[in-house]
Amino acid sequence: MFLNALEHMARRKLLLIVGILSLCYLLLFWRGIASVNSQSLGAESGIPTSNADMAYAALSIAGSMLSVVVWGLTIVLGASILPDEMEAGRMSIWAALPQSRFKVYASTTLAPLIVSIVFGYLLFGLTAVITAFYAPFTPSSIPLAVLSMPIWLSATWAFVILFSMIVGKIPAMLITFILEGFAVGMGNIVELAKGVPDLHESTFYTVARIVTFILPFERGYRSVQMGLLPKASLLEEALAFMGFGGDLPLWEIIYPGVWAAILFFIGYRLFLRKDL
Amino acid sequence: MTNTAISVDSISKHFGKTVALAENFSIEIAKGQSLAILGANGAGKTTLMRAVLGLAVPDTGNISLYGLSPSDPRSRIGVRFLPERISFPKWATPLQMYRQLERVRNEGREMDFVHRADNLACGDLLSRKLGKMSKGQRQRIAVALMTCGTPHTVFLDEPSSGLDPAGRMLVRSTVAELVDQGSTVVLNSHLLGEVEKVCDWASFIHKGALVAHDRLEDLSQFKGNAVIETLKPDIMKAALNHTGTVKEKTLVYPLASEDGFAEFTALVAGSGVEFTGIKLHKESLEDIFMRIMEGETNVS
Repeated sequence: MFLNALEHMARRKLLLIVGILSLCYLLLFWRGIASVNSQSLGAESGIPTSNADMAYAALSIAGSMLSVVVWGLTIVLGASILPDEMEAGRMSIWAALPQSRFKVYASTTLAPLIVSIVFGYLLFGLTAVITAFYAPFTPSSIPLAVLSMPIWLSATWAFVILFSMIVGKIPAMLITFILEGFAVGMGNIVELAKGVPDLHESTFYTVARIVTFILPFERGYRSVQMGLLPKASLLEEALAFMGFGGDLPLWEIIYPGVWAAILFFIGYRLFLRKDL
Repeated sequence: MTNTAISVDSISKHFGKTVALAENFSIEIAKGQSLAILGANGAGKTTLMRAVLGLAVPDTGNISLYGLSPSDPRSRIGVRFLPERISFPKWATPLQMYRQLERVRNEGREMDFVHRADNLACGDLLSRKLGKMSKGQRQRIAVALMTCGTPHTVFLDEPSSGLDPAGRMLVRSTVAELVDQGSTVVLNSHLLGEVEKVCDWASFIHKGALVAHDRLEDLSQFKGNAVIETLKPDIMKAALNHTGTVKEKTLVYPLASEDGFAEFTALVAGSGVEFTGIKLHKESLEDIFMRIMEGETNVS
């Protein structure tokens, strides 16, 4: 069943479009990074900069753009799969075969997650490889970046799948996009507060902290970046002062995965009671 | 070992305030039975089928499919379901769809599917994309996908939907073949003439309640006549005391009751007039349908 779902997923035109756009992006990124050198980064300020600084700058800028692409893909694919299959009347065929509802649910919903994760690995991985070619650097922790990718995307995936069953495809996409944006904004405040201790006292910070707990969409992305970005760069130190790129405690790295598992299970309970 | 294939015990199902299956809906279907589920639109026929397959969750009651709950995947081994409305992915060919289904059910051989498709006159479409087929072609493919091989139970919800007369005839012979090979067939169709030819049993559902469930021959009431098929109906009429009405190559003879049929047959045989057949005039399925449904409508 999982192979069937992957086959259905692979035939979507959306994937082709995203694939072509990703290739265009990678080519542009390649051209862009090939045209600068690490010395030019600090030329204005007179501060000597290294390859690691250049890699840090390139990956920070590319990362925020890539995150939107991968997030968008996860949301659109995740929101489409169950409602589309049900609307087409195919879900009743799959569920009438000798397989459990859990298998139908898990196989169908895992397919878009796998596709998004693969896209994430390819985009972030190739961006890092291209960067390393022109500005050799050592990522802080490749295992952390690799492990964080599925955790990061599973939070968005579980949320959008659950909502697609409750409110339908398009509203689920819109709700998730809006809440993602909100969660990223609040996550930035939390990170900023790491360098500005006074912020901890404010209600705003408390709200931001609660939001990142209730909607942990961006925690995983930060841990991907945490693993991918080079250590020992001037930029890292500068941005760390402002909170960006700072370390996350282990529980914050794992938490989005646990949160996603809970939502996935709630989604399954809903699916179990659904008339197909 | 029990002979029951499907047991529905006191179930009910509501969609909001709408009653899909009324309280205490119960029915038993034996192995090898060919059952037609009949009723007006919205009577609950499809809901019943879906509940048996575990696709609709009843509010109350129990269902068992070969002794197992529909939530148990093992209950659906060897069971096929053709829904009334299905939209195949446009990119897929029938063979790709067959392979997708077989990845899960793992019950048949591709040659069985090809054979069934040939029987349904759609064997030449197996490599064509489903998105490039007409509605009727897709329906033939759907029937072939769900009836190929030797399933022990088949649920068909309006299998002739969108088919031309030739296609309907082929679907009918496919269903008849399944019945002959001993499959339990549950058929939901509005084409009563076709149902009558392939099903032995019928269940009538009215507003979510089961109002009749019996063999077709037992549901069919005697209409007070015997029909003699003969090339010489006028001579036959004269031989039978000038009683009865000639209708083309038949003589419709009034009989007081079914009990007198054997005696009457002997009388006809002794008349010396050639005849090719003699039978009791009983209700057609359409007559039964109208009688039961009108009765229920008057009651309700």
